[in-house]
Amino acid sequence: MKRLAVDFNTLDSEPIDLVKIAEVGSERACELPSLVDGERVVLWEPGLEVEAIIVLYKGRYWMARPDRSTWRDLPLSSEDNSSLERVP
Amino acid sequence: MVRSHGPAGIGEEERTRVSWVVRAGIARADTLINGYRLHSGVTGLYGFSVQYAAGKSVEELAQAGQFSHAQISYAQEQDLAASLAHLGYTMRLVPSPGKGYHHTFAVLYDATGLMLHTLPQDAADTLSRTFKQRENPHQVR
Repeated sequence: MKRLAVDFNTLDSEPIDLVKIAEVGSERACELPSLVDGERVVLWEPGLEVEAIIVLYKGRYWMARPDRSTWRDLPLSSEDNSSLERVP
Repeated sequence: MVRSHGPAGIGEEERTRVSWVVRAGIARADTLINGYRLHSGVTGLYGFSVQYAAGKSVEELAQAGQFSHAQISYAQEQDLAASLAHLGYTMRLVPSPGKGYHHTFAVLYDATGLMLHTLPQDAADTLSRTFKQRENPHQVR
């Protein structure tokens, strides 16, 4: 499966629960591997990944719907891990 | 000037005067750059997604975001603005359609007021250094 680096914070913006990947035809989209509506991919950012289905939203924006049964924590880099505050 | 000692254990009076900005995960520069984009539902609004509401605590904002991440990043609005000002940028927290207290964090050139369509590396670096990280108290899967 293709692995795409994303920002999962985009799940919170409308349309909610879709990860925003790139506008069709944008510079960002041109840097991606070719995508197909309905394709299963892996989305990731540091510390987290999930499998997802690609959605061509309104014909103009590549998004993806996470399969919530597949969330996986990823090991953080030592730099990222050391930046974590330990809250009691 | 309001001084904070962090998100945990601050007094009620101080809590209501501090404006926190919260994101899911580790606010690395590359992730901020990747997340900075045109809002798909608001014409002309560029930025990255955050949870923000004046007077809400970091915990309340994290709960509203229903994040799947094991970590959150947080910073005071005034600290983020100050870090950008050194580089000639300013910021806007724009309420935008989304979950919880969703806002779009937009960066502008201070001199022209022009909203940036991509996040410059120097702005991303300073924002990343300003955000602090901690475990997510309200992780949702």
